[in-house]
Amino acid sequence: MYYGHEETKKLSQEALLDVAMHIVHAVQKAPQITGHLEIKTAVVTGDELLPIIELLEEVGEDEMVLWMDGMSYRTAYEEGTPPVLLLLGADLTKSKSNWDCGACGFPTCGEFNRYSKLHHGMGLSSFGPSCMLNTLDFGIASDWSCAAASKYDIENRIHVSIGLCGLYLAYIDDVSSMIGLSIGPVKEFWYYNRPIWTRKYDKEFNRSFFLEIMRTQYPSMFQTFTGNAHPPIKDYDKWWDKDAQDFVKIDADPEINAVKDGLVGKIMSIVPDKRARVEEFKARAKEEGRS
Amino acid sequence: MPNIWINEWPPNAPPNLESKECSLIAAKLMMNAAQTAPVTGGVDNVEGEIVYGQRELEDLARKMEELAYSLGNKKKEDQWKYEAVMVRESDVVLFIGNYRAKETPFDLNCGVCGGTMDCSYVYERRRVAAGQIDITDRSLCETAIDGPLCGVRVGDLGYSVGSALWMAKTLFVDCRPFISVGIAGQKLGYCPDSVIVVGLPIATTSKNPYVDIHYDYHVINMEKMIDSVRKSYIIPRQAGPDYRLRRLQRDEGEAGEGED
Repeated sequence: MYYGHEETKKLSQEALLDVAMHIVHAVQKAPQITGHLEIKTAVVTGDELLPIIELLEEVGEDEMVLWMDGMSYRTAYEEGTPPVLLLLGADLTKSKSNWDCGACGFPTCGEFNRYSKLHHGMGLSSFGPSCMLNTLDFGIASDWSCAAASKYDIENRIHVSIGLCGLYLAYIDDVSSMIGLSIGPVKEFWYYNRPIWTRKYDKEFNRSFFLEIMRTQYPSMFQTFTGNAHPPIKDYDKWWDKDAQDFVKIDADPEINAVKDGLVGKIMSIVPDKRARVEEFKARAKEEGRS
Repeated sequence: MPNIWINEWPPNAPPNLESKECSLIAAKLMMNAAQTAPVTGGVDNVEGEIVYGQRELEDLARKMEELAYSLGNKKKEDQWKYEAVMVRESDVVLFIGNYRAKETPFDLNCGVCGGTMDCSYVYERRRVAAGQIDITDRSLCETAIDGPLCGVRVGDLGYSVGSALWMAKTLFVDCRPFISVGIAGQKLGYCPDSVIVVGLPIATTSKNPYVDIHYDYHVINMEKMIDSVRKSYIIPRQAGPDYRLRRLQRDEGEAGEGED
């Protein structure tokens, strides 16, 4: 039997699913400190990635990391080489270990559990409060998923961003935290040295996007001599020729505040429709014996 | 180059020390793996310390036994003591700690620590000045670990510990993660900048010292078994004859040497 280049590429793409299942072996074999934490897994492929891709794109309008991940996923999907996504989830909100270690802020696990039950809530990417030993064990299992993927020499990346999309869309039930491991596409780089991101770069994009982030976040790097609270900030070339200098000034920004304040509302408005689609996927998987 | 003779038995004899030194190399490689583990934002936040030597491991085991009682947690008293034995049976211990979980949270508003859309759960329970967590008052901590901690940082510590464990697995040295060992090591001053430390005892022995542990392991284990032979056998031995004066008859009809 002989497989040519195109067929080999196609088959190696299909084999990502096998690799995902082997990674699940490593996840479930990962050593634990508590010995109690149940790590739940789900594997998502093909069209059933679309609700996640759309959520990444829509929330990504306001959050850069999600934007970049959404772009990487969308392009891989449209090129016919979507990654296989392994989702890992666990309920970290109940402490069963009885260590009374105090890392959660309570003197005993019992007090933590009582507080956790009464104050169960959600942050931007996770439900909480969480037992810190559970959190450690979840980290170990997540790391083993990455380590297993690296042994297969497959492009991979573990993402909080995709985990939070999985959590919002309930790809796995009854978990408080979720993380996503992208497996493939079969390329040297997709999530590091991002090729899709690199395509966006030209002199203007570098200047208006990347260097502007640097100037905003690290103005001291660009600061000229100052004797007062508003140091002048250099532009990228010939700042001395500008009619008006830039200065650092910390002030309320109603526009950005509105975006930040509206982020959760925005997520909540776009999640229900996508979540209904995910429920359909889950129901179909159950009917077909995949769940 | 001289031969290198390696033998597990007896413990801490030169042939055993040769293999313990290999475990030490493994510990160093494990720490390298821990440092390359994926972490949130790619931000460095772990430190490591390696403890090696019979006296040093004994000190660590004794600290664990002390904590078994002084922390007053009856539910874990046995586990502390069993795991102290495992430390004695180890070649080396690698400590990995996170030095950001208390003082410099990730400030992501993720909700892991307190289930809220901000980091208030941690900041409200800490002294704060100028938007920074003030860690100078260490008397506030009455528990083994000084919480609350940033869940993102603790998760990152899990990744680092995971990579160290993966390296151990790859090198075929036995290793497991223990919070008891980590707490005791921290109390002894290892990983001095860290608020939460995990202990990773490492052993190169025919039997993995960290599994198949029975109840009352703190009083019934290999070291105690051997000592029980040492403490008992000496006594009946004294009922023996003077071997120089009388040879024991081995076969039927054979005269024992020195018989009348």
